[in-house]
Amino acid sequence: MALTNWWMLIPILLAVVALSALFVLRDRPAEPGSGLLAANTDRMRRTPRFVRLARDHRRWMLVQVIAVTLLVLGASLLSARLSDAAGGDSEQHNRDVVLCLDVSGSMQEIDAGLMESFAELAGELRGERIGLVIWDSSAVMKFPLTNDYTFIAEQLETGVRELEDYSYNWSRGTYEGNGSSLIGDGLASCVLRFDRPDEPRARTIILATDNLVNGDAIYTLPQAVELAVDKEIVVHAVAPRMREETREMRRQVARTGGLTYTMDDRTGVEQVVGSIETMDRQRLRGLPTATASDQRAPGLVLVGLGLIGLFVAAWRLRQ
Amino acid sequence: MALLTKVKTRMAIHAHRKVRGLLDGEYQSFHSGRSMDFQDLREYVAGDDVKDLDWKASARKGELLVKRYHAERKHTILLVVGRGRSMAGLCPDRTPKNEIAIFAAGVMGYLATKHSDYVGMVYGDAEEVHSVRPATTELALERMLGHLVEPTSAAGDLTGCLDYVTRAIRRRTIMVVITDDVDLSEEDERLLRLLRVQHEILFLTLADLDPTDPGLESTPVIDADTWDAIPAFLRNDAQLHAEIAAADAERHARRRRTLERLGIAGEHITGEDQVIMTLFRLLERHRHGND
Repeated sequence: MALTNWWMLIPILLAVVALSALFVLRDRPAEPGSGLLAANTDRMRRTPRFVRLARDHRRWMLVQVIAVTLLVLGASLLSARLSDAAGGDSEQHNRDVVLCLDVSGSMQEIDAGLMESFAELAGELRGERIGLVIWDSSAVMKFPLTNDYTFIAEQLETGVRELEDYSYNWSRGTYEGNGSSLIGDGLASCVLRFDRPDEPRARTIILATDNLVNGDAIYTLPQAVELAVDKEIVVHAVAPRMREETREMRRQVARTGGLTYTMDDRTGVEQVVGSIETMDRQRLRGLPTATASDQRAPGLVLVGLGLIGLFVAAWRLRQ
Repeated sequence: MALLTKVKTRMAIHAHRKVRGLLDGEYQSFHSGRSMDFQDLREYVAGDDVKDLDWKASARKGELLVKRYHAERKHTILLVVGRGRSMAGLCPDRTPKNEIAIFAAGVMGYLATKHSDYVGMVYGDAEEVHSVRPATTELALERMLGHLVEPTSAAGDLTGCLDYVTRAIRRRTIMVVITDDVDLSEEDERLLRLLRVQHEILFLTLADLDPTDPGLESTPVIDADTWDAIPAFLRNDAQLHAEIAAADAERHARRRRTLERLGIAGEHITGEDQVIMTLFRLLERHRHGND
């Protein structure tokens, strides 16, 4: 429970203070000549009827004061927007997924499959953000984390097409380093793609590579994984088939809590994506969420009670 | 002489010539037989008129002596009037009570000065009580009435005034008490019994405006004690009005019994136009009571 527009309380407080001051100041002795002077009213005050009338009047005045207090409290809650931090929906859409694709020749099939799956998935996503980084000997960010799903789908479909056409134009910039499939550098680049470090979001990297490192990398795989562990990023790896290098990769990826999938055909890719999805969802349930929903009920109930009290008291006092 | 002129004018307005003559007559008959006191000399006491001093006798005796005959022949009307804040309140006819007090005191004082009698005054409230030395002139009376023009902020206090009279006034007087619509306490009764021995007492009470009177309609009514407006939920309550009227009647009956027991003539005034007739009735009742 928190007040979203807590600053709205300031004008309300000021208004209450001003009105109270007005009432206090207005409660001055009458001006001479403003009415007929009646002396010895204590005789009236001693009659039983007066005692009864005064007691009833005081009682209804008290009701009125309480009603106004409730009304002000209710109005304060409503205008300050009391909100509840706990989301009712277990589906929480604050995930960031960076597709981290090795675009060396051997990975083309898997890359295309992953991109295709994610392009299809983009239509169903809400709140999640997807980014795409491709790398070989150097990394290139095709697009940053975004939730513009038409753009994502478009980009991924373009990627699939370009890959199938063996277009170097699309993967330009990934051959600037020495060697190929520099997995450490690639993964490190992907780790650095996550923004909003303060927000509690589920961060996932889907690393597609065969781990056939060839050349001098700046980061080794363990160093890059270390980076991911520091930032609490889960790295899932997808490799073409189980080999010695893949096992090494699986060990490293397991340190981040991620899994390693191997596959040979496209149906495999879809299963991988599905399984990553399920796993992330489960992981998300435990995370605190930033979504807040306005709690109008308490404010409305207070305002309602206040209004009823005010009307009843006014009616009684008028009699 | 503004106040006394007003009193005289009102006397002319409110009383027929006949009644006015009667009032004069009442006053005279009230005093008949009183000038036959034995003439002698007695020691001077503070408050005696210096004119009454018998200088030759004083010289012979070596102390001040006053002529008793001369001093006693002139009567003294002592006006005992409250001037607390309750006097700022209105009578049921919407005349301020202090104006009615001035009128009544003025009529009594004026009749006395016309007979060359002394008129003195004791006035006060819960905080202080003052007295004005008895005098025979209209100017002195005018000045006395002037003390009643501005009611003070203190509460009214009849008991205090009566107590003051028992301690400070030594001569026999005809006391005219003008006060609120009081409920006489045991202390009041004790003091009045004490005073009755020395003085003739006429007791005049002034009624208060009833805030619940339906005749006031929606004219604002202010409590003279607190200066708060009296709220409508009280003023429009018929039952409260009835209970106040019942309480008033009960109190009046109680006071009437007490005054009768003490042999004091009492009258109640609810408006300016009743002053002359009430005073007339009061004097007459007193005369009958004394015969």
